[in-house]
Amino acid sequence: MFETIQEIVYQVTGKTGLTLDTDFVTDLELNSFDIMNIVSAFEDRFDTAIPTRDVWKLRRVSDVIAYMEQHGVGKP
Amino acid sequence: MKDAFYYLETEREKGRSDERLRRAAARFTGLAPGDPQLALSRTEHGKPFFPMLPLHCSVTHSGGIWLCALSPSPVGVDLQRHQKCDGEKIALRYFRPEEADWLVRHPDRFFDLWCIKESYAKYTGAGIVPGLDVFPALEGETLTRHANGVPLRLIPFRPGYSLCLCGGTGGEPALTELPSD
Repeated sequence: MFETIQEIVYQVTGKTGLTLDTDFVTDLELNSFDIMNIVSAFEDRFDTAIPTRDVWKLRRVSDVIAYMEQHGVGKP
Repeated sequence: MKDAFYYLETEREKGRSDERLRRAAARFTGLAPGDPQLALSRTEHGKPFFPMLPLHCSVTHSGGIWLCALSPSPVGVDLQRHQKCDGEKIALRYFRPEEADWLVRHPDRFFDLWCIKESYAKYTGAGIVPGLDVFPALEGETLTRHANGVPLRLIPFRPGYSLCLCGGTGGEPALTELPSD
């Protein structure tokens, strides 16, 4: 899943060099629109829906992986 | 004193935003760049402010541009480079239904509408956590110029960018490019 997240983030923002600890806002310095755009891409790729209230919990790459695993979303 | 924008064409870098904001505020106020009155604090939601000055600010960044708005009145600013996205999906999710419908007819205004919404979120300081549908962005077939009574102004910036100022004094904002870092 980490590789898929890397690929999505690169396709949407052009950012590379992710680690599990990478913070989308403070490390990649994405703005709110970028975050929304990435979340939309995650949903499409993983065929899931992430409620808006949960979007703000996905600060780091590891948060996305944990969230997907908790919600039964596997590798697409 | 009227509203002003200061911008810098640069990649956003860690820790540089506050330094740039202080440089812009020094120009705006006439204070020396190292003046202690230019000290910055942040609200609980992360919005910067100058606790020792009667000066309001808001910061935005997009597409390699860092930009701040400074004003004697409360302000919120949002800049967004036009980029590839699923505008219809995002609109259905974050905007009001009538706004999503309007964007089907006016897809080229997606980023104007986004900036209107987010500049108000920046104005309140609450960010977009409360949602982007907290005020109607349309008056009939046109984009509104007020959000809950606060003025909104779409400002021409560069081709391929949308820029909106929420609040401020209402005058024509000055736009100044800062020297590079």
